[in-house]
Amino acid sequence: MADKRIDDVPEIPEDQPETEGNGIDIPVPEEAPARGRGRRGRRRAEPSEADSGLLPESGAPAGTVYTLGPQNEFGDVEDVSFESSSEGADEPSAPKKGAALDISDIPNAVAAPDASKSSGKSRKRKKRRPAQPRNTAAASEKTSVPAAEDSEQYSVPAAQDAPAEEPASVPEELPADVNASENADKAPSGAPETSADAEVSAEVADAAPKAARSKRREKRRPTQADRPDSGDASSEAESSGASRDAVSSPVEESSTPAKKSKKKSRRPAAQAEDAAEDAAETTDIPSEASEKPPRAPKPKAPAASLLLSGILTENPLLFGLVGVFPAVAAASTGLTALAAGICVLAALIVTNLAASLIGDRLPRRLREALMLLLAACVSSGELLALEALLPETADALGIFVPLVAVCGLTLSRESFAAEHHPVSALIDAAACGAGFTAALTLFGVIREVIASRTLFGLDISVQGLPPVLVFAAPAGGLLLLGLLSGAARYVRTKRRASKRGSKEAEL
Amino acid sequence: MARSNLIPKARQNPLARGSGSLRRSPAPHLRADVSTRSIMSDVLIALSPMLIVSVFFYGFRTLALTLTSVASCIAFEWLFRRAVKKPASVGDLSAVVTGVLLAYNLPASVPYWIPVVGAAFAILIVKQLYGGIGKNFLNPALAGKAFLLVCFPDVMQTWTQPFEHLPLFGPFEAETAANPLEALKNGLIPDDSVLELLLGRHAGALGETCALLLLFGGLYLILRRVISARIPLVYLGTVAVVTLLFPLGGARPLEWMTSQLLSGSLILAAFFMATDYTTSPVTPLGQTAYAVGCGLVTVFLRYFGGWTESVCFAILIMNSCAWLVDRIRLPQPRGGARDGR
Repeated sequence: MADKRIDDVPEIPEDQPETEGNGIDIPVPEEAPARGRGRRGRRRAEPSEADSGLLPESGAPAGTVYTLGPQNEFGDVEDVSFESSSEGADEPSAPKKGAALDISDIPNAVAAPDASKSSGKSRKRKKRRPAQPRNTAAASEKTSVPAAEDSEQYSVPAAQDAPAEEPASVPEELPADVNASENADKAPSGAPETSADAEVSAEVADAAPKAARSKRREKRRPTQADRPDSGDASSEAESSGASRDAVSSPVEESSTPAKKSKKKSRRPAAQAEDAAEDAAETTDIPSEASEKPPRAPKPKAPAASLLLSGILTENPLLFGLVGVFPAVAAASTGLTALAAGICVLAALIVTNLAASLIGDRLPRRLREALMLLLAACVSSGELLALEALLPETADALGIFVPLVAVCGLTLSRESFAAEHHPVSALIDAAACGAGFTAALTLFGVIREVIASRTLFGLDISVQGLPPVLVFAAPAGGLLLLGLLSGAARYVRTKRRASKRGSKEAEL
Repeated sequence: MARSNLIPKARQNPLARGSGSLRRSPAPHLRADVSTRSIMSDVLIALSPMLIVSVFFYGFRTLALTLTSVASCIAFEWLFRRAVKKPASVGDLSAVVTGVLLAYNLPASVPYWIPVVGAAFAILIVKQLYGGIGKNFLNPALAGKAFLLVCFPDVMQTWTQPFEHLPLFGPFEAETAANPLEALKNGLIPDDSVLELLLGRHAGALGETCALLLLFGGLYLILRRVISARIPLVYLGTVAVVTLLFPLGGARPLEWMTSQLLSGSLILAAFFMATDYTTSPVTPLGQTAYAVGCGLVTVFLRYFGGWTESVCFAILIMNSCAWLVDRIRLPQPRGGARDGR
């Protein structure tokens, strides 16, 4: 993935050759474009790698500046200018110093999907009422990235990304016939409910923070910043249908709402909201308070793909390398590994379900803190249960049962759960937890067999072969985890390559 | 590094090699007749006297152990390169050097599967999984030794008396002997005299005991310009200074220092393993800092660590810091900016 992103960097200017250079005429809001670029900077330019000069052929110097102008109401960016300022040649960026911001100035952590949304929002507001200050609630959202980044790393990217990225919730190695088109069929299952739910949830939406509402509204609009993403997605053989949707999205938006809702799309809720928003805009309702966009039902992800990715293809332990500490330190025998895995599984199910039910009723940071608290509650219960049922295992696990509360797995799935239907969140939690438990148990069994010649406590020692003690220690755990993870990745890469090969052969 | 110090011996015109094809290579166009193979051959020549001495001390079992280690190193390297469809690299003799060094770090009484396990770890995991020669970040032989030491501490820390020849096959009862390091660990001067330590007539791994021959081997490598004298001298000097300044248990400082220097695998490691091109720093300052670090960590671990032999852990720790140490002062291109751009 990383090399793909790097390769994209020089292509960006070529996407927008005609709009280049007229950015100076339009007053650019001070901070909004910077946020938009912050996200782009994270996703496209990868400043750390570009700076280190590891990939000189990528062609993007470290000081590359991307400037985004304000959006029009179709979500198109009206002016985009790109400046590649090498060091010591700052003159080109001088005319718009207010707006230009070096990508490397923006810390990676701040560049959240949320940030781009809030930027779009503030940009838009500026256009209507230039005097209004930026929404502080939206701004406060911008620090909540790490979880989102984690989740992107090994499975489903935060669902509010560009529409083209939606099918990312489908694992890539799904065969061609199960891919985008089928998902598109599955996803609209929520479509008929949309209008009915709209009224019901209007009252609920009343209670929700205003920022969250308008944020959701904004995130449906594909910005120009997102469009290159769709270009990326189209390069993936699987998501060709998705990219078609994304490319045609400006046309869709300009068509009538009724026509839109009939269109086959993977994001019916989004379009309904767009329609409502368009209506609100045409009637030109002056006050923000009177427009109440309905709370849309959360999207469901296909259960089969969730199970597949959680257990096998995106296994949290083997591919995500999440929850390394229970694996390395606690899972030195099969039984302790199984117990630790089940503890994580239980905590994950509870927190995922709660996160999905809470959704964006709470700001992200608060929600994450709440999830940690919840996981702590679950793990205290687990500790008591273990001490009562399996006192020896509880002793062996020691501090690691309470530490389940801060296992990376719960937080990394939290952002997915918060944006999906509770059923999907539950399936995801079960799949990831089961995959984690299975991998952890395998890991623990291997360590136990090598280090103490027993299998779940049964003696299977062979005469003349002394136990390899290092595998009972964390050093051997890390060694084995690296080997297992490498082997799993090797198998996955091989399978993907052979699938791609067979697909190309069919074509 | 050492390679850039090599005397150019323009025996062959590189352009004239091959069947009329031009060879392209990056900048320092050394026309010396030097290759990995020739360097490794020099190392093997420098190491070979120790093998004879070990046979003299412990019988032909040491020869068999060394051959087992070398053969398994070559076999693992060849098998791995074949399995991943990479060009074979057995011919550069680096696997042979790894095998010999690994065997030299074993007690003479270990069973034959020990060098096989150590070679598997050294070649497969430490060397080939990271990309083969030139890409490993730990010295394979040392890592293999450390792995064996951590996995099988009993077998790896049983020493036998020299001149008590061990049988080639079958179980044997041998009188165990105290490694001088064990006495040093307790703050005592070992019973062996300095002459015995120099000549190698004391308990220890099969190739590490005879300090005199190891010093000659190191001298040969330095004269052949295979290694530079910087790392071994600074390493040994650091150990000497620190042990001279801080003797344990009220021992006489000079005696304490001599015993510390001459016992264990310090000299073998300083000349043959700490100087590994791949895992040691490149810049002169970096090499000095690396060697000082090796010395300090060695003494620290010998004083306060849990193992009697800590040289391998010390060098492995500094191996993994080599990239960091190299950044102390990177050479700047003339006329370039300070940050190297």
